Amino acid sequence: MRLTKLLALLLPAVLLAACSGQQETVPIELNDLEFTLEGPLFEGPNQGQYVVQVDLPALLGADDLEVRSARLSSATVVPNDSLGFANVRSFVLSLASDNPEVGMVEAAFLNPLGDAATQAELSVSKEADATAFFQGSTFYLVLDADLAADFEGNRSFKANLVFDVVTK
Amino acid sequence: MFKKISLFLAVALIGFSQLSFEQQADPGDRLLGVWEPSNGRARVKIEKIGTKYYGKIVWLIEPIDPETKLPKVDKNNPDPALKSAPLKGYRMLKDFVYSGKDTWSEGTIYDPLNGSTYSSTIKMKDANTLDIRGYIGVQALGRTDVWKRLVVQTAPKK
Repeated sequence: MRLTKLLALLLPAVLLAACSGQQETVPIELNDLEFTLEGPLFEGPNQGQYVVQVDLPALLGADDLEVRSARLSSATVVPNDSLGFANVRSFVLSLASDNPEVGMVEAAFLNPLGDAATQAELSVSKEADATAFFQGSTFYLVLDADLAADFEGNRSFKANLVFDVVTK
Repeated sequence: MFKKISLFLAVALIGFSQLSFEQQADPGDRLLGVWEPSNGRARVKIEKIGTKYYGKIVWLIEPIDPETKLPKVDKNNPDPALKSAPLKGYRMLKDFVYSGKDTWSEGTIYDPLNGSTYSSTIKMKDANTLDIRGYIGVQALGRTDVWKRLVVQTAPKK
């Protein structure tokens, strides 16, 4: 009887350990991603894009790992030209994919930017699920900058992102 | 004889380059541009990201929130983290794929007035008119709005 009780207690724990075993959260850093907003730019939201080629073995450092879940954990934007953040009111960072099954998600934003900002730490959405983007071969990062004035030329920014990726 | 061959080659090359150019033009790209919903309260710019089409709010008839006296934010967004995201710039049309016959499907339309997202298809009636249908589940359960292309008027030359 005692043995049955013990087994009844142990079995779910053993099953749980077997199912969840070897899951690991790996922070994937994507640094110095350059976003160019091509001019002429008009007052209002303007976008720059960066194409991410998902090379999981290179990103995770192993060939046989699968992505179980992925989420953006931090996003920082810095200016990449002499204009700095002049007349930038806000930033929104989104993820998009060519896969019809995968919809765009807004992952982070900062509104308002603030006049004296030299770098922008974006607020990250906890509900934005990036898993499907890391399960494909390519996805797009879209940075929208809301400009307070027109600009003749381009504007350029760099972003440093960290994704928490759970692997198995 | 040599001149004739050269002329033929030149004509053939011009024809080939025109053919290549026409083949590169994506018929789905006719959707690109700035559009105005029937209520005239906003303007939406449709852009392409990868192979899909997205529309973001670029102009609002009332850009300032009368309560806060600040630019309107997406206060009805169901994601709490996005409630203070700027409404101007928000992508209310997402993930449309050109499916032929002047139709873009597989997309969604977001209503910032109630924070709801609906399945959506776009039908181009003519070069400057869209029927945009938002629906829940099946297309029969939905509503269609007519959007007009914002045509930039150029000043006459003096």
